[in-house]
Amino acid sequence: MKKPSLLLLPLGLIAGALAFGTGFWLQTRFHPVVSTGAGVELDWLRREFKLTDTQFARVAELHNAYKPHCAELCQRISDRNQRLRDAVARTNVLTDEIKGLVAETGRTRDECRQAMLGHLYAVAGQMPPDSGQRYLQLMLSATCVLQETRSIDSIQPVQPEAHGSHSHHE
Amino acid sequence: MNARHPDPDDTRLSDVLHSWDVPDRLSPRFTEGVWRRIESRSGATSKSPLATLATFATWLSEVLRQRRVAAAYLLLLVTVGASAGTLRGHASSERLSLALQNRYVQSIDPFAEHLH
Repeated sequence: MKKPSLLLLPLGLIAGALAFGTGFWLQTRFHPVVSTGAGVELDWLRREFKLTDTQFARVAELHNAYKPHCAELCQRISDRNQRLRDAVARTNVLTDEIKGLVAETGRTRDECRQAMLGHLYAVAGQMPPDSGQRYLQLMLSATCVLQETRSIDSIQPVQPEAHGSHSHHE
Repeated sequence: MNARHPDPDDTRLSDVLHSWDVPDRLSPRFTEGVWRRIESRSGATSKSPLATLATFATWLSEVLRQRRVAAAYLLLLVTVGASAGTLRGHASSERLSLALQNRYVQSIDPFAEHLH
């Protein structure tokens, strides 16, 4: 016995699959294929903060100017860390060399944070005020610029009253 | 028993019988319904899985033949498919966006670049 109405079963499944594909495509159509090519992150910046061509050109210019400086800072951090690790491994007491290297590592890190913060302000300055503010908030939480500040903020002070009252009962 | 046997030569009866108009239109699925009932009766004694499947297929075919049911079935699958696709696409988009954001952060943060 032929049952042509049963053809609706596979047809329905095909229609559902097509609807799935359409929904998926509509959500992801504007995303570039993630590749190793440079510039994908800038495309993200342009889309995320809805930059005009002019704004994007300025931001890209700032980004490209900052990149070599960033790479140099990265190299310096790497060198300082390696020297500090070597010095620490050579001895088991706090030597003047280690003290100097710790201080030098800190200075390099401060220099990096200052350079990065300057770059973030410069990029935010090229964006519309709202987007610039959002960019700063996002980047300040994602980068290490405020990392130390956050760590200090998270420290909970010891409550002396609690200790005092405890000893009082004893 | 007082059974009355009609006279074969009764012309009145003969006329009445000739004028009796039997409606010859059966319901559209009469034959199919009869066969289904016959099948279900015969299958009641020996219900093999295949017979059960055939019965189910017949029932499903019958149900899907109704336009409203067919439309509801298609609409349901399309809605479920579109919703699932949208949700999946949104999640994928969010993941991708986060990955690109991380790439941007790595490109401007010497510490992030150093760590990775």
